[in-house]
Amino acid sequence: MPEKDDLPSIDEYGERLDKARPGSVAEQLQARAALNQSTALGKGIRIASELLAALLLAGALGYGLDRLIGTLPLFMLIGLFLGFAAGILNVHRAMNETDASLAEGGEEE
Amino acid sequence: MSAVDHLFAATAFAGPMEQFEIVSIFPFGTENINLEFTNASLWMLISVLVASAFMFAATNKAQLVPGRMQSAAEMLYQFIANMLRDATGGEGMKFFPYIFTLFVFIFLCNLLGLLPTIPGVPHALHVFTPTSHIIVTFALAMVTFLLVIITGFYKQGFGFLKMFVPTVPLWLLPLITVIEVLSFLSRPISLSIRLFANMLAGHLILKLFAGFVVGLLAADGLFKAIAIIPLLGNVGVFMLEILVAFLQAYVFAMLSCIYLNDAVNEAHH
Repeated sequence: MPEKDDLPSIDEYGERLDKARPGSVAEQLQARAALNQSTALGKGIRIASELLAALLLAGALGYGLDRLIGTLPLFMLIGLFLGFAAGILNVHRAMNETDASLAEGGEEE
Repeated sequence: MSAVDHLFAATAFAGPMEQFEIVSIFPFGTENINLEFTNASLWMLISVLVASAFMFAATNKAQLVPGRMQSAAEMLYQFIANMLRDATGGEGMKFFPYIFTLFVFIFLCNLLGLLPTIPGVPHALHVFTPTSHIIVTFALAMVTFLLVIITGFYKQGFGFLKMFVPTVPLWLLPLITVIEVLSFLSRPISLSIRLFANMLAGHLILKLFAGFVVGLLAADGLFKAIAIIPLLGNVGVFMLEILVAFLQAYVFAMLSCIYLNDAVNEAHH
């Protein structure tokens, strides 16, 4: 068949196409997103929100418990301390996640 | 009054926080339950309509060799599918519709909020960013959070609670478990604060810089020339905001995937 010479089959064409592109468009987008995760403001808000969320939650839970049983500063203070610890844990995890997603989806923990 | 003075008066009247005001479009509901349709509802509705219109148009005449619209839709599909597969290892692919909807909705809410308002339209129709309100982002985060809890208990039973018990020395265990539980409970809060704070900060900066431009133009002589600096700054910030709109939607969806992973796969410590 004369066509065989100048027209590659669709599989060959697919292989050539795969070779030509450095990675699927989706992968490229993902890599770019992971890189850009480090816009300074975004990173700052990320860390602040992780720390703040745990602190606020634990403080509020402690305060609620205090209001219920009338031991006002006690559980709120305990809550704030534990919340701070949980916040640090959150920040630690968040930073690990960013590193892991940069190092191509490594399993964390 | 010159044209610039008019402009200045108009902007000075609308402070940087004015863009976040909730305005009722038509009231609805009973005395105790307020269900009115506001500008926030309007822009969420617009986001949903735009997303639906795009997906319907893209898949309407699906072809083996995709056209432009279809390529864009397929790219989006692949992007979310890869993200979910990487995070949950195929086990969580059942949640693809949820993650896809979540990403597209947040992205469009963020992005459409960057459109310029048509001058002169009533306040209720000003361009509005629903994701700059913490109650919106918190509601979205709570959906993910409840989904994780329900799926976790459904799939693993009480074994789901094992994720709160890491391998540490026995005397540390009570303390660490409490901290792990607090860390888990704080997830929806940090998720919602992050998205809302990013959108709020971005829109505030844009508005403040725009205010500088108008303020400097209203001044005398040489000060008018300085107005170019905040104007150029605003162009830069605006481009960054487009990136942030995508990025924050990505981060929200990505973290939802990571949290869902805890629910569908047993935790490894």
